[in-house]
Amino acid sequence: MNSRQAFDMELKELSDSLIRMGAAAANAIDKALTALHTGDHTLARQVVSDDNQIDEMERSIEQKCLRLLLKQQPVAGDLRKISTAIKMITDIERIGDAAADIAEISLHLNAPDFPEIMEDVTDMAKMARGMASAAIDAYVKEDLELAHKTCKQDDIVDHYFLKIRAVLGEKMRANVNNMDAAMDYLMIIKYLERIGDHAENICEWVEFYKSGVHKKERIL
Amino acid sequence: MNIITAKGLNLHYGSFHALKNIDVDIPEKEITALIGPSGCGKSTFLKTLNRMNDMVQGVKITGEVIYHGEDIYANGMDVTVLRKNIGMVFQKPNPFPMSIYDNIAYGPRLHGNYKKSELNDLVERSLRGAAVWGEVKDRLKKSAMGLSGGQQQRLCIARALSVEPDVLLMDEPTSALDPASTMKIEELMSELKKNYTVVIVTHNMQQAARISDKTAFFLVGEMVEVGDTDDVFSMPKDKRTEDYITGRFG
Repeated sequence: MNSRQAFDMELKELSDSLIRMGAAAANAIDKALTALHTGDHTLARQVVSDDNQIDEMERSIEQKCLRLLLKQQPVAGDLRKISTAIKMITDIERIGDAAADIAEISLHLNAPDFPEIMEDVTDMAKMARGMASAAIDAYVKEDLELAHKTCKQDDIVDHYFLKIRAVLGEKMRANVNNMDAAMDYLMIIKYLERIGDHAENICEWVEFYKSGVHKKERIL
Repeated sequence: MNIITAKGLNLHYGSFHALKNIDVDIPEKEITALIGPSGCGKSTFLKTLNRMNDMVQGVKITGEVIYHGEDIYANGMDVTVLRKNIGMVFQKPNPFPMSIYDNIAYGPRLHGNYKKSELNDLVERSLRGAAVWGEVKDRLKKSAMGLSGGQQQRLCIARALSVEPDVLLMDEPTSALDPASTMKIEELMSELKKNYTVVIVTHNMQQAARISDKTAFFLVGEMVEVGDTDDVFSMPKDKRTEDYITGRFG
């Protein structure tokens, strides 16, 4: 195997690591929402403790990327691929944190406190989770169209946030006893909205990988 | 502003078509790097810029190389003056087997009449310009052959500078040197471009990316792509360029 082939293998391993990290973060969102729906505190605690594994994956992939930069001194597409990976892992790690935060909040909620918002919360979570998975898929498949399409879905996530927030606002105004639970749910939907933002960030870095342009600015 | 422009340049070594329709501008007081795999024509192209290929038997050159508004291949071009103005430094340092002083003074003595004091000043200026004065000022009468490889190469650069060129052609100037000497030559090139135009052939991608302003990629006698170095190394337009600079071939 020549050195270029060995480098290609390392880049493939980098992509595989990102897929694993993305899957762990998506899994954390799923489990956090299940814990929220069912009041399963054991599951919620598992999500919180499993977040360390996602953090460890971030460190490991970061090291991989730095070693590749050191050893290979990449240029052009290789440089953009590796630097995109370095940026992406921060967003994926924060998605994991958001899921753990949702699980932590669910520990002191009675499920479900506001049944009328739960369908929208579930749909919002599915959309945000789907965005996170699609964003990583776009990187691995080098699919700029998928990245662009996924970015647009953040508007839908934001719409859900505003809709659910309005309902929670009414709940708080209607009865002061609703305040604590409503604020917890407000935090939850804020975390889901942030997951959408992080997925959008990943898509923007995929655009940089393919075109050298990030948020309409040519940076490399 | 461009100091040299090649237009429709073709070169044959006998029946072998070594350079094919080369069109390129060399910007003044910048470093232009020529990259490409072995045998692609980059050194051949470099040597067309001061007619060093004239000495190769069976060579045929068509097209133009415009320097200060004149085609250097036109009849009546004084090739000696041309090579004074467009100096060359080679891969292997090649000091003359004479003193350090005489190495530098050789060219000026051929081209002009200098008083002793003027020649002394010129030698010092040239050696300072090549960032080697401090290392040799106390042994100017000693043989240049006693210098290290890196010092010899800087001496060769000083020798080229002594006849006051405006362009320096460098054919893999650091490939025979150790990393520390390479770094000194690269630092020198960055200084030299304040006053001179530099065209360098290099196999070292990182060197080209580090020091040059413009990069031209050659392949099988063609110039595939030319552009700002940052652009060529970050977002090359041609897949062949991307494949070469990422080590997929060459």
